[in-house]
Amino acid sequence: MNVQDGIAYLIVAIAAGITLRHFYRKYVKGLLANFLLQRGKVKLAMRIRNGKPKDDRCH
Amino acid sequence: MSTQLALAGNPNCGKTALFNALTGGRQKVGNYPGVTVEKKEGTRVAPNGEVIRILDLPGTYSLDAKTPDEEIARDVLLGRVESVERPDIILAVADATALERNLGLVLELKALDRPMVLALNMMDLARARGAEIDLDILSRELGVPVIPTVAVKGEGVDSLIERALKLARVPDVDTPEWVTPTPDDVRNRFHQVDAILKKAVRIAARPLVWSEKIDRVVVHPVWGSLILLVVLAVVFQAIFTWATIPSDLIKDGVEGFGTKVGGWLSEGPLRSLLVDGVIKGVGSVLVFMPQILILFFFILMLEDSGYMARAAFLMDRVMGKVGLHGRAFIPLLSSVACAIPGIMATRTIENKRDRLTTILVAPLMTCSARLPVYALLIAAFFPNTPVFGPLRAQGLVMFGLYLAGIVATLVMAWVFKHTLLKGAKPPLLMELPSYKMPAWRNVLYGIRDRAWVVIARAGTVILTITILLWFLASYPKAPIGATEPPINYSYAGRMGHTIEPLIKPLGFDWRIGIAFVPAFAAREVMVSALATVYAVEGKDENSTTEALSEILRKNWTMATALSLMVYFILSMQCLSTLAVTRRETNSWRWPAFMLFYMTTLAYTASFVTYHAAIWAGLG
Repeated sequence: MNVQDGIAYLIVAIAAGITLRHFYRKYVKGLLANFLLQRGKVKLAMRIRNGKPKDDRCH
Repeated sequence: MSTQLALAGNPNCGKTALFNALTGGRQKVGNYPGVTVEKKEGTRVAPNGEVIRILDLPGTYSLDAKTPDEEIARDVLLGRVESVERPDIILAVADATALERNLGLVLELKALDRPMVLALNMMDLARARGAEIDLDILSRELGVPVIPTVAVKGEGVDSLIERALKLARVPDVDTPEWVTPTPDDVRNRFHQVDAILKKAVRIAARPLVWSEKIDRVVVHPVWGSLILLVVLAVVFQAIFTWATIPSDLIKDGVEGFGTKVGGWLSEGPLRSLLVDGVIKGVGSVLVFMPQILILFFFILMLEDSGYMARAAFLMDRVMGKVGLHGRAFIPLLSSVACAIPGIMATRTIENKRDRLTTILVAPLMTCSARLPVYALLIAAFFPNTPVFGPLRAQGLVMFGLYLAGIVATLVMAWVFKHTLLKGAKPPLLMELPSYKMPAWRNVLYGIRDRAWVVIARAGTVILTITILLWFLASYPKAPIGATEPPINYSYAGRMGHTIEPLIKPLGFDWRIGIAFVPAFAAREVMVSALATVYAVEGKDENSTTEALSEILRKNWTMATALSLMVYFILSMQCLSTLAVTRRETNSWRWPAFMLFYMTTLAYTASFVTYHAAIWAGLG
């Protein structure tokens, strides 16, 4: 693997990380917290939902 | 903690214009916790150097709230909203030309017993209409300082802040209880307003005769509808005509930048990632930014001038015929920007069935994320020939696509209201604000905010998805001695070929299949994905510098382009919309149903369009 390959892979890995984080925060986090709340795991649910409320529009 | 002011007033009293004048447009938009009502907060530096926080509350006619917006306005003022401090000072805003209607809320606000200043806004219009208001008497009768303002010109804003900051603070002892007013309370308040006006208003503002004369034509069932059609046709024509120069400049800039970056790096994966992936992909979406901004320019101008309320009034007749609630107009209009605020805005509809119908059809309205896809296909397949006067073919096709979205919305609403969600349609009661010159400050701030949204999306979601798509389209590399194009051996190529049999009846090939998948995250990613796929696939130097529209013209037939347009009008190609529908309906059933009905509808219509186009010789 040459230097160009290495940098390209690094950029792709960062992009994948950002995308997964975005997906988790936007679609998974709320559902997971609700699921835990329904099962009485309040502390864990609160830890997951600790983010500030955000504007929901698609940006 | 710094002082917090809250702006409260009736809808259309110039509250947002005053907010913009006070904050200079430095604002943060979010949601109130637990609800999806928009929260607008800004700051202003006072003459003493203190940074004041200013909250723009949703417009309301009374604190006796009927909708979630109005509830939020009341609850913030009462200090009952979690993680939002109770405002230290209330800046009540009243329209000086319509004091009779506005003072009822001012009296309710006064009863909250918080420090308060009244901004008597639109004073220039009131004076021009011959009104004579004695501010001292008004202030004495209301028991609050009254400052005349002309928010759109920034007049009176400094005095307003100066006076507000002089007021003594009242410590928060506890959260007051809200007592719903009885009919007698309401009657008494009206009498009180009458008594105050008799004392403070020497001459009332003359009714706007010219405004009524204009309305006789503008809201006329026939002439009004014709005017609305002409206005829309002009808007869509301007989207193409005005955007040509800035779009070409962005396109040249992106191409020049791509060539420069390509020259700095030797042939290899990093060069391909940056040139074919990032620059080509993100650039292909940025090129359409002028079109989106021009669309928003017109929406803001029409809204600010008072015409949009007339359009709502006209549309109510049509909407009523399909069984849609009059209040559905604002959510559907918001969906032209994005279906998400549109779906959130359905909270103002009290009836559950009416609300569900509006939620289900809102994504059929053409959102701004579809605009780049439409603009790309129109530029590639329709000549910009003159049709009638200043109207040209490309603008008319765009108008037709938006119209098709509206027709699909109305047809599906009719279907739902006559099958799944049957129910009577309640009447619409709405205020038609007087016509006025749009405030440039509001329009410019609105366009600036939208530009930021487009750039932020291009720099985040679109950029990361484009990088990932480049990786999927480039790896694994073709084996030595491979005879097919390298992309056919890649993950994306294989995925595209797997999807192809499913979409082939619609006239779509595997490349479109690849682009469909990431476009689920954001519709406009379809454009960047196609740009990346064709750039990675391109073997010679020309194909990477060629405009995407030219590539599509060479590779696709008109039948494929028409089929894709129809697919995009009707399909549920947006994950965020499904997520917000789930939250608003508190069930997975409705987003699943939305995805099913829209996909079925899009697939069927696209299939019919493709085969009809082939039959017509466009294949």
